[in-house]
Amino acid sequence: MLEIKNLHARVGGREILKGLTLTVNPGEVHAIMGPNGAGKSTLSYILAGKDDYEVTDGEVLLNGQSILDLAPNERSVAGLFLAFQYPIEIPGVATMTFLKAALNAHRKAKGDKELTTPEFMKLVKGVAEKLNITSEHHLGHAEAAGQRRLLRRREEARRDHADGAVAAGDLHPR
Amino acid sequence: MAATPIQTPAEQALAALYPAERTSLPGTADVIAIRDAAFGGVEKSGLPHRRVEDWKYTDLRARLKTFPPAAGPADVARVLIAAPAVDDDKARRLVIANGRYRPELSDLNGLEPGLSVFSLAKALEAGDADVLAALKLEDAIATNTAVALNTAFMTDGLVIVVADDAVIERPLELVHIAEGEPAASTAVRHLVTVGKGAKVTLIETVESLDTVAHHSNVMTVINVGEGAAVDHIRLQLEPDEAVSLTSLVAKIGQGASFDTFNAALGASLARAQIFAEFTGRDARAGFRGVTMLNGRRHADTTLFLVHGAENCRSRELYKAVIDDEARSVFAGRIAVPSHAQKTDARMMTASLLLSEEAEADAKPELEIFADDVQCGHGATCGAIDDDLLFYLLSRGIPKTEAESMLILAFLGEAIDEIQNQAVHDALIHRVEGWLKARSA
Repeated sequence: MLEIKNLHARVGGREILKGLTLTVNPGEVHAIMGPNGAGKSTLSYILAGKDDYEVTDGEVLLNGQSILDLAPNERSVAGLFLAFQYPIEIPGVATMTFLKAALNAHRKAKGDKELTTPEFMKLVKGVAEKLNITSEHHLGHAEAAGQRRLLRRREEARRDHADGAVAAGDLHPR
Repeated sequence: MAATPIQTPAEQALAALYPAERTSLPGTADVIAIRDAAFGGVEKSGLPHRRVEDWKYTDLRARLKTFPPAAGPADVARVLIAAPAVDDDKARRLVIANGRYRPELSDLNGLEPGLSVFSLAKALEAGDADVLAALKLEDAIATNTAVALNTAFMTDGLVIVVADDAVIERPLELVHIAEGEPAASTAVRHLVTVGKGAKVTLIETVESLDTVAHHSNVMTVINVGEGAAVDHIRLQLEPDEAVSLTSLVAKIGQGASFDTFNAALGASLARAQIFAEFTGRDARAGFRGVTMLNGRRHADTTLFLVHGAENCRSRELYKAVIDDEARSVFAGRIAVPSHAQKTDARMMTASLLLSEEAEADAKPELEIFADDVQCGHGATCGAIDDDLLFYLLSRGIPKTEAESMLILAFLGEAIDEIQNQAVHDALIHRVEGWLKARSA
């Protein structure tokens, strides 16, 4: 359960959030809508823990625990993460390296054994088949567009199957 | 009125060292004359300082605190058990310990036809005419302080000749090891001649077994014959206390292909100099390197490239990762004389600053006198991209691991150009070690 209570926040000295209160119960899907500049992105970034966003009042509890002092990666493994509308390409970091590091960080936090590269590749192959990502994408060495597509599908998959976790994201129309 | 320069302790040490060593260094009277001329130049001008343009960001006079005495012979037992820097069974290891070529520690079994390897010291003692001729360099190179000190003090090195059309499958690995305490200085000169259409890979590793302020000066002169292909990679792995000066002189013949990669991973003060020249048309060359710095270390990469012939292509890419209060310098000069039409050169340097106090100095210089050329340069300098870092963090990856991934990705663009897999892997291993130590 995610509880946002009386959240005030500013960025660059400008107050953006002025007392937002919202409770998201397990299994619920919420859409936050509003015009440009309403603070949708700000809320997402604050929940995810991005630097430069200053919380001036209020609190955010995930399953009863305050998350505002947690680093973004700690929030992520606690079950709260930001699904990017346009996943960033990281020049020089192979998608498989990135995905494996992310998965293993989550497994480690849960106390599960980290996957080796062959175990991970097997898992990826299975997931890729389910998502109809064929081998022509050459998973490991996908060209940029392919990588973006793969990442976006992964984001969508995570959003669709966010079992218990709460996905907060921008909801601009595509 | 020229003021008499006040000598620094390092200059005083040099002034005392040279007369003491002069006659015990290998070589005939002709060699001594060459040494005297080189040392005389250094003595006259003193060590270069920041008002000397080529040393603007690496003030040798201020930075070189001492100049240690010449190294004695190495303890062979210690050299023997030293772990190889590059794990490559295929490479032919040639060991230079404390400035002396040690054939008994080197792998000379079954030298390929067309490959010959012999000691520079022996050639100097014998007054070998070809070798003496190869010691002569144009003034701009010969008077460079690191080169002149090498000429004055060189104790040994390898004379390597690859015959025309010989393809040397096994890479030659020139292993430079300094051993012993207290700190000592070494100067090594290699002369490499690669014949027409020949092919060879040269790996150099430079390291010390003791964490003392050893001072090493390694100079490699390579003549790349017409249509030859030479891949040269140097891993400078000195301990943090050491001073490392390296110079590479390359003459690249018509239609030849030459690549050089320098990894500057160690030393408190390091300067890697490259003097390269296209001497024949239609040749291509790649100049690349990575520098990793922390603490108060200083590393300089200085490239002088003369695009001296028509239709030659070169690529330059140097990347530095700088932490703490360290400082990285890149100076790259490309000269294109008026006859060198259709020149194509692209020079790029990028620095990643990991702390507020880290410093990167980049000085690209293009001197273009031909009108039909493509010659570009670029320099970037910045911190780790917050957005990229946040993206990785938001996926659960801890900060130090995320930073390491981004640093490795940054260096990867240059490192992945290394064709030799064993060296590539050895370098990645070292980089990962550096990153691990950083996040510990």
